[in-house]
Amino acid sequence: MRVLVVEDEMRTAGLLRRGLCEEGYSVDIAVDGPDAVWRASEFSYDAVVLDVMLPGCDGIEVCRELRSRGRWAPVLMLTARDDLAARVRGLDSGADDYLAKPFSFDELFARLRALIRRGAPERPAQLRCGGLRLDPATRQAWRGEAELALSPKEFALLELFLRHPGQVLTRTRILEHVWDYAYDGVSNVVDQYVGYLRRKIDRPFGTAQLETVRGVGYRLRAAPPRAA
Amino acid sequence: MSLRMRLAAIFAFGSAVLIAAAGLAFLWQLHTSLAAALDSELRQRAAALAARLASGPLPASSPAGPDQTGSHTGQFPAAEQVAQVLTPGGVVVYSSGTEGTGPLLSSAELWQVAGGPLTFTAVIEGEQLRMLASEVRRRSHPAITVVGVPTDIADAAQAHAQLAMLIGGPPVVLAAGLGGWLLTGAALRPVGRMRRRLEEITEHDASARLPVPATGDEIAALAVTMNGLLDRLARALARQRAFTADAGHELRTPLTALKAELELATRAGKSRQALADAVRAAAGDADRLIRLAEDLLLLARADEGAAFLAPERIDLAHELHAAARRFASTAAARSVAISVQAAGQLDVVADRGRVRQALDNLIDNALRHGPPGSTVEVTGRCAVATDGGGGRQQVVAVEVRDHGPGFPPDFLPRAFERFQRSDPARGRADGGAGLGLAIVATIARAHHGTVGAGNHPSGGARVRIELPADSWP
Repeated sequence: MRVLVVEDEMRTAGLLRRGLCEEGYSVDIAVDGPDAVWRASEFSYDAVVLDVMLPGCDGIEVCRELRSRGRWAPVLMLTARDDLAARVRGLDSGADDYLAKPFSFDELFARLRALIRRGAPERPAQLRCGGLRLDPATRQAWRGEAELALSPKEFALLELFLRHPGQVLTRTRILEHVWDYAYDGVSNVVDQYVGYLRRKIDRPFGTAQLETVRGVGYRLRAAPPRAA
Repeated sequence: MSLRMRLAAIFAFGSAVLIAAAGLAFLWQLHTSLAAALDSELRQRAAALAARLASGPLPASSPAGPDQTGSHTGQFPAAEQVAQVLTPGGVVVYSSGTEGTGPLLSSAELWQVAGGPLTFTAVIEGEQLRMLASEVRRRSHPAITVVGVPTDIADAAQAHAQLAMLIGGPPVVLAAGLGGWLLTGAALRPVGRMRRRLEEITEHDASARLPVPATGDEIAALAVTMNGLLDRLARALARQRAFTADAGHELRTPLTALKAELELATRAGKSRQALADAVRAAAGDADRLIRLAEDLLLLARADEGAAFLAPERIDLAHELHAAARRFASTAAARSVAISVQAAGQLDVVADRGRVRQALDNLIDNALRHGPPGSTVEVTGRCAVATDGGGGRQQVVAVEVRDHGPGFPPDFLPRAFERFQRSDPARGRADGGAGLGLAIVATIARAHHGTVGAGNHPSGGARVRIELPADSWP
C-alpha cells in the first residue's frame, strides 16, 4: 500500500513517514500544495494523508483539485485546527475522513485501513450527468450554467437519478429512496414528481433527458437527446 | 417611570404653571385697567359736578329717577348715577337720590377728604359702587362732592375672564401632557427600534450593524457612534479569536510531534539507540513547547497591560556584545560572522531579561537568513528621535542587519504582527511560530520604545529598535 503524506512541518512529516513505514506502508512526502497535486496526479496512491494548513494553497484546495482531476484515492485530512466549519469544509471538498492533531497513530492506522478497504471508486462531491450538475453540500443544481429552482423532494429525486445515470429506476425503488417508509399517499406520486422535475430540468431547455421506460420506471440518460 | 411618562408629566406641569401665571397676569391687568377706567369716569363726573356747583345753583335733589342736573351724565343709565354734595360738616346739601338720604361719608372720611380726594368702594342697596369724594369750593365756601359709579360691569367682566380660565385651563394642560406623550413617543420610537436591533445583534450576529437613518439627526449620530463601537468590538473579538486559533495551532504542532514520537517509541522492537534518539527528539519538542508557552504568556501579559518588566539601568553596548557571544557557536556552525559596533556607554533603563530576549530574537533571525560567509552587523548608538508631537528625545538605537534576501515587500507591513512568517514555505521547522518579531515589538513598546523593519539598499534585512535613553518614564 502506497500512501502520500502532505505535510509542510518537516518534523511531523518525518514522524508520519516513520510510523507508516513501520506499519508496512510505502510513504512519499509532499511539502506543499502544488507538490502534492503533482505527485498525486503522477503516481497512483492507495491513500493520501493531507494536512489542511499548507503553504501555497491549503489542503482543501488540494483535495478539490485532485477530485477535479479525477484522482479518487481516499483522502484523510489532518489538521491542527479544531473548528467545526473547517471540518465541514474539508469533508465537502471531497475528503473522506478527518483527524485532528495531535492524533494517535493507532487511530490513524485504523482510519487508513477503513478508507483503503472502501477502495477508490468515483465519488465526486458534485454530481454531473449530461449537462446536469448537482452539489449536495450547497443543495444547488444547474443545467449548464442555469441554476435550477427545485423543491426538496425534486432535489432528492434528481440526486437519486444523478447517482444512477443511465440506469432504469423502478417506481418502487424511487419511492423507497425519496419517500420514507411511513409514506402513505397517492400511488402515482412518483409520476407526479417526475413530471414536476421534467418541467424544470428538461422542458425549459428543450431536452428530454429524463425518459420513461414503459412498464418499468424512469431513466436519466447520460446524454440528453433533443426533445422531439 | 419611563422617560416618556416623565416628559409628558413635565410638559403638563410646565404648561399648567405657564397658563396659571399668564392667567393671573391677565386678570390683574384686566382688573387694573377696569379700575382705571372707573376712576377716570369718576374724576370726570366730579369735575363736572364741581363746575356746576361753582357756576350755578344746586340742582334739586331728586329722591328717585333720572338725574336732571346736566347732559354730562346722560350716557349713564339713571339708576347707576350717584352724586351727593355735602358741607364739610357732613350735612347733605344735594343728593341724586339713588343712594338714599344719609351722608355717604363718615366723619372720619370727611377729615380724610380735607387732605385730598378719596377713592373708596361702598355698597348701596346691594349694589357695589366705586366712589370719589373731593373737596370743592362753592361760592367761596368749602363743600364736598361725592360721586359714584357701579362696578357691576367691571366685576362681571372679571368674573367671566376667571371662569373662562378655569374652564379652558385644564383641557389645555391635558392637551399639553398628551402632546408631550405623543411627541416623546415619536421621538423615542427610533431609539426603541435601535435598542431592539442592538439586542438582536448582541445575541445573534456580531457582524450586523444598526441601520443609520438618513435624517442626519441625533438618532443618526447615535447609530453611527454605536456602529463604530460595534466595529471596534468585532475587530477586537476577531483579533482575539485569531490569536487563540493561531496559538492553538502553534501549540498543537509540537504536541503532535511529541505525542507521535512517544507513541512510536513505545512500539515493540525498538533498539536502545532508537529509544535514545526518540527521547532526545521529544526533549527538543518539549523545549519548543516551553519557548512557545513563554512567548504566548509574554504576549498575553502585555495585552492585559500587566507590568511584566523589572527595569534597571543597563548598558546596551555591553548587552550587544554579550548577545553576540551567546550566539558565537551557532554563528560558527552556520559560517556566519557577527560584528558588533557599539560606541561607549549606551545606558537605558530597561528589563535586562526582556532586552536580551529581544536581541536574541533579532540575532537569531539574522543568523538564519544570512548566507554562509556573510556577516550579521549589530550596531548600537545614541540618536535623537522626534516623536509625533514634535518633541525630541534622546534614544538608544539598536540595528541588526543581515546580508540575506531581505524581507519580502508584502511582508513588511505585517512584520511585527503575531504568527506572521516572512516565508511561509520555510515553515515552522525553520522559522518558529512567527512570534519572534512580534515579541521584539511588544518588548520595545513596553519600554516606550519603537521598532522598525526594512531592507538595506544594498540588500539584506534590517530591524531597528529605539529605546528611550536612561530615563524610566
